[in-house]
Amino acid sequence: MTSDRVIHVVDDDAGVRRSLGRLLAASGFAVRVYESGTALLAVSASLSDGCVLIDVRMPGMDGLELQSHLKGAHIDLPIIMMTGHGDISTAVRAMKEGAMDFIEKPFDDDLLLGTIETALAGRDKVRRRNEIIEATARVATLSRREREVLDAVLVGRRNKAIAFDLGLSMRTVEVHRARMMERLGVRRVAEAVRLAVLAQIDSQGL
Amino acid sequence: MGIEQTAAKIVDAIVAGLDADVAYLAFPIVGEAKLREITRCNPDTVDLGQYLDTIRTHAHAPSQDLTSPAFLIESSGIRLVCKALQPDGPATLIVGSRKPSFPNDAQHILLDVAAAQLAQGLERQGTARNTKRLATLVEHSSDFVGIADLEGRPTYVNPAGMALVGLDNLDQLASLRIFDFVPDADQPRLRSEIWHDVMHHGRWTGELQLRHFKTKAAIPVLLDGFLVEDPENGVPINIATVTRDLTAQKRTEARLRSLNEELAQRVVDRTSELEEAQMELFHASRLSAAGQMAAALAHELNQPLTAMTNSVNAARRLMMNDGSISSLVKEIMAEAAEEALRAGHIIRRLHDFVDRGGTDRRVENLPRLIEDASAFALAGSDASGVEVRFRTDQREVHVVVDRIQIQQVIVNLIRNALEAMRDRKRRELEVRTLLLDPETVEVTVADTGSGLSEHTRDRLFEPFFSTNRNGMGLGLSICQSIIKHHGGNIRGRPNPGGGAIFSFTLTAVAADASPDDV
Repeated sequence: MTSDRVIHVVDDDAGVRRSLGRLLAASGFAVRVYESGTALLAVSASLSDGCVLIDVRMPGMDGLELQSHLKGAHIDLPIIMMTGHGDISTAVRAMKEGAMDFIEKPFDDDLLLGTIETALAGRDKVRRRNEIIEATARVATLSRREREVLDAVLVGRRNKAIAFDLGLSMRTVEVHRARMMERLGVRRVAEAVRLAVLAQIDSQGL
Repeated sequence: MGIEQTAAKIVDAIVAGLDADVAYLAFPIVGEAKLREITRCNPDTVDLGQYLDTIRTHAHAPSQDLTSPAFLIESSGIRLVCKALQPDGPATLIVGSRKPSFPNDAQHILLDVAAAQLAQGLERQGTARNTKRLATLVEHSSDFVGIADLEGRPTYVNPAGMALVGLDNLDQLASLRIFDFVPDADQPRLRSEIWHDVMHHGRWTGELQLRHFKTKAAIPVLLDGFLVEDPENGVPINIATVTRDLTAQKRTEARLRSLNEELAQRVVDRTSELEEAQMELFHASRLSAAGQMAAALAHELNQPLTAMTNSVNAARRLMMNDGSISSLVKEIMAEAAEEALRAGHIIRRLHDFVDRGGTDRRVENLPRLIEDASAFALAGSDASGVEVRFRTDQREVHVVVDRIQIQQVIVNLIRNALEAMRDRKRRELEVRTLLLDPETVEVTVADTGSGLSEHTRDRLFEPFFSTNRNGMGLGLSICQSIIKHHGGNIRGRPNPGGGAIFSFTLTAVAADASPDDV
């Protein structure tokens, strides 16, 4: 077990902290838990390796604020945001701010471990680059309508609102949405959002 | 012939007829301040210079009664007769002679005749002037001025009157009667009421319509009709009118009236608009309470569900390589993990269901939005006796928001503030907006209520935390999720003067922005 496989977990819920610690430990990671962003920042000087798993919704300093503090302190460990359901817009903001990925609570252990593996590997610039190229290519296959639906999903619009915006029926929006997911090769909205954000990062030349 | 020439001739006639040694006439000329003087003398008998001062002194003495005998003065061997020519004017005639018999009866009569002639001339001069002045006034008057005989045949109409009714020259009047000046609708009134009043009572004043002779259009006027009587014997000789055109005034009145009506309509519209918005807000706050509750529940249940899923999965992984544990136990653990995830999905679906309305963000005028929400929040009895102040940033601030949701936040903050001040003496509420930078606007609700204890401060936005026995503790938690959803922040802090200050930020945009720009 190498020292770069340390996972820092920041969550205000004691139950989540303890269970997540046990799950990650059982999966072969070294785990450190923090009850708040402040607690993590207090030891930020010693953070050099691994990955940070942050709950986006916490009293006091929330996940996004913690992320910007870490950025300000030049701590560039990969960050995975744990979001509640329907927090798409928050997730998008986190990713635009440089989070490696996000994961919706409650999550399956395989999904979590896969995400962590990808994040850790993502520290490798080449892999990240390939991921971005792949995302851009997939988003490019979308039709204009499918693209419009994806953009709307990205800003947290729901089907009804999208139908109104685009002057389409709900049924048509659902069809476009399903095709969009199919073409991107994803099954969860969160994955589609992740691809879209990565593609945006590419278009911004980052 | 002018008055001066007439006067000079009469004076010459007096000197000749009376065989006078000296004659002096002083009289006013229209438009001149100084009196005009005419002097004559017999150079063989009199040195005029010797007497002129004496004569002037008497001429300018207080005027005498016209009917009294001439005023006689003897001075240095000359007898002077003074006659005032005007009842209250300075015109004076003085005639003098060295003869001791002057003036005899015949001379007196001649003097009286001459004085009467002069007086008449002077009077005519004044009358002519007055007449001319009156005529000018009538000619230039912007009112309709007209005269007719007692049969109703017009004899004169001034230029403004001619123009008003569309007549080109006075010759046209010959074929007209005054009834022709009035449209059919007003004929009965003119023929009975107005004509009767003028003829029998001498006057009628009121609003009437005239008719334009060319366009046939009715012209609203204020008419003053009256009888003109002979000053000598009081017998009526003419009827006359001074009539004012009311068209402009009527137009102004109509415009004022329609403006008033429009204003009243706008007040009604705005009021019902407000009522509608309040109803909408009221329904929305009721309806979404269920949705917010579900959202809060979902979040709260998500945490233990996450912990449970993680725990079971951790146990499974630990057991995976342990041969002593039966496969049934492993299967049971896998099922438990799956069930926990399923619970998560159910909560998601519930959340989706109540939140299906989605959010509807538009560009909104922030001060207006705050105004409407405040009106709603302050409507209850809790607000009586509270001093409310609004301080909005001078700059027009627009935000892209779901109006109902943001108003719900404002209503919540104001209601909390009112609640906190309920038993306080000093009850002041301040709502203000401030543009922190071109893209961020801060809305603040400050009160002078019971304030925030340190314990409270840390848990303000925690769901189901409340300092109010009847509160569910969801208000601020909901406010926070709404504001976070809009990309802003909300915080609470103590008011330095006692009480609490809550403020939240929103993204400000240009007024013409579309929601996609954010």
